[in-house]
Amino acid sequence: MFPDDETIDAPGEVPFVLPKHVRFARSLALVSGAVIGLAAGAAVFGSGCNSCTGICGAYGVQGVQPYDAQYDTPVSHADARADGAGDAGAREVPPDGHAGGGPRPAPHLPADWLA
Amino acid sequence: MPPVEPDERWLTAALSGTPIADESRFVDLALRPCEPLVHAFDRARHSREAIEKARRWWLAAMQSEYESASVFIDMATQLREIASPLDVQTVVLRMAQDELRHAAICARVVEAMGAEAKIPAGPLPRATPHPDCGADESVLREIVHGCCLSEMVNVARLAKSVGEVGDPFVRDAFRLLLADERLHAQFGFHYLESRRPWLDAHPEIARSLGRFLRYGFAALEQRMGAVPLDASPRTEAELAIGLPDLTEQSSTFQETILNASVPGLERFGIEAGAAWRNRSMRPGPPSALDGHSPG
Repeated sequence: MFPDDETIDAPGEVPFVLPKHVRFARSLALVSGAVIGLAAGAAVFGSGCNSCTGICGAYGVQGVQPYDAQYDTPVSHADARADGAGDAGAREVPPDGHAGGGPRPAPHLPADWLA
Repeated sequence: MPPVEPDERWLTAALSGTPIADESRFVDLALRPCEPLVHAFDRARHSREAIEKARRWWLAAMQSEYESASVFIDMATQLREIASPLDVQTVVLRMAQDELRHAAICARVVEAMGAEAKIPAGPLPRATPHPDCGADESVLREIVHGCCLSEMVNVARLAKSVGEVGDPFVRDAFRLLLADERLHAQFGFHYLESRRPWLDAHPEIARSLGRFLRYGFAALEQRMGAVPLDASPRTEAELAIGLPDLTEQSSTFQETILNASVPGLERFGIEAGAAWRNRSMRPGPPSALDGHSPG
């Protein structure tokens, strides 16, 4: 945990359940109606956040939008899975799965899903 | 007689040595979203073991970044085939280029850590049209899976890494990646916004996307959200050099999908929460997600 990754925000503010990096991700997902700019040398902004909390210190990477913390959903480490695989935390995974990087193609639905 | 193909092709950080390299640098400068690497890597700060482990991680990241450019290139082709607006096509091609730039950033880190940045150059992943749906839904599946899910998890993990890492050079590298990845993640939701009138007019597509997500969530969780059998908690030395804690792979994946991607997708009438709860590699019985009554 890094120092800013607090579960309790400043007095008078709604306490957050989630760590800051997840709140940051959600702020991106819940923004709408934004313009994506491509100005030379400038940040590629969405919109919505206008107060950088310094989550990463990068220009153009702004902080967390205010939102209602009642929607925070903490997760258990090994969430139950519908297919009975159960423990998502104990399987071999492809070697690239932990190296960050960009996306892979969306998987095609297998034949038994198309019946 | 056909020309003889080399057995293996390798990609390195070497440029062409022609004016094309100057043009490439010009484009890089024009699109750079934040300050470049400003710190130098100081090997004396870390143990040899930590550097070796980090070097392997960054080399794997270089390969992943390089390969994922193909996904955005194919995404752009699919968007072109449905006559998407020019700004959409432009930004998707820009994201493909971002991935190449990210590969170069990773290569620079590998070299700073004392190794050659050299990866096998193929075969590359291809994002081909989904045969069980139309062209509009096919590209939506690619964008939802690639941007709203995969890149969103990458954003959360990078933001976490930026806050945790002790090494200033590695932190610079994480910052550079994060500054682009936030666009990649957010693009998916902006694209959905651009298709909102069409989705509103085609509720069967939103239902179909929900059904696709049942499988898509499960498949992605296997790739990005599972903890390796041999994972152990990260050491202080690994934390200092910016290596991820592999024992947290499941929790970071789940909390990001559940708290960012799912509510973001549900704004567009896609039943992502139900798809997440019922995610599976197997189809299962018909449900409301399939457009049937669950009873």
